[in-house]
Amino acid sequence: MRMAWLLLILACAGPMEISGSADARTPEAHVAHNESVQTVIQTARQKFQQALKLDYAWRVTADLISEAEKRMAAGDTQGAHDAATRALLSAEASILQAEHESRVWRERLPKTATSNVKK
Amino acid sequence: MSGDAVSGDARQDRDDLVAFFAKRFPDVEFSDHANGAYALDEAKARQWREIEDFPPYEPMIDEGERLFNTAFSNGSGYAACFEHEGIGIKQRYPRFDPDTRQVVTLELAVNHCRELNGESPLSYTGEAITAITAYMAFTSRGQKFDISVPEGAESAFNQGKQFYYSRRGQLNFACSNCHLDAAGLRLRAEILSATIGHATHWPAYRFKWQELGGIHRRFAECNEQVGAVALDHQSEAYRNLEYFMTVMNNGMTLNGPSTRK
Repeated sequence: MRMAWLLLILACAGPMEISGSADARTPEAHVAHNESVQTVIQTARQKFQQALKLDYAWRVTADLISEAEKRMAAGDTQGAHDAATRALLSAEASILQAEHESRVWRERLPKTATSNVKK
Repeated sequence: MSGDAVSGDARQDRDDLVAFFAKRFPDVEFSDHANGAYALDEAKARQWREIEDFPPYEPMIDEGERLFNTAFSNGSGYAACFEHEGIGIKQRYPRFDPDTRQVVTLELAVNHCRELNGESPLSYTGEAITAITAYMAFTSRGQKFDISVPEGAESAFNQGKQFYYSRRGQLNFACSNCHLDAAGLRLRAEILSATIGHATHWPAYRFKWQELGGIHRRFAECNEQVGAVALDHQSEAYRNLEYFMTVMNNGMTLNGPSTRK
């Protein structure tokens, strides 16, 4: 049940706020911020690939990575950061789900079973 | 349960499920679960039976028969690849191939046959392979499923079983959440069918699709509905899942192709 709540919270999480306004940044800070967003997108991509290999990827992760890339290309760094952060969170949640399920799936076998206490 | 070559654990799994649903639905015969959700609602069953009087998939069976009997470039044909010339054999698929240590579905066997004869494989999402397997299923109607789980197949069987009982996707659902825990309840206007009987009627004409489709298409659709990225048709994971689900149907009558909402 705790796992279900965690996933629900992550799935429903809205765009993450980051401190400061892009407009108020110095040119150097702006470049640094862009690089930071690219790093988040790249990390989200890597985690998504990891989830795919586990057969546990979520559709929303792909959608959010795509959204982050589009916003980045359009110069919307803040929007790109929000989408990339959510993509990363959802990718991490899907990997967590895979790990969790590998441990608990047997709990769902029919309760009438006499054979389910083993294994 | 038929199938002498079914491992003890697989037999126990199947018997546990049968016992579970016998308790859940005491008025529904085991054999009636081959009709899916229609076994659980008489009004829907009546409508379904009337549709089956003039089934929308009939032309695809004819097309499948034509394709099945069309010779390859080398003069051979599908019949040469299968026991009993491919007629009345669907109830023994999927099967475990001890040489490749893989689950072989009927679709995979059809494409293997083509490749052995120098033909290019058919797309697993295309109409041709669905039509051919629909015809082959039609020739097996009335036969009882008899899927073996020989020594060496336990791993594939257990991987399919694990898939069935594991939650996935953003909505965090396992197949069993709907078709075991919630079987008989409604999702909006639809009744959730029981796990046993899920593999009896494929390929199926789903009104949602407006065409025939195979069981892997349904797996992919279910996965997407819970927010997961669907796997490829005929991927190892889906073949193992089909294997597990079909073993759970052992002793049940094959009634495909059929219609479903």
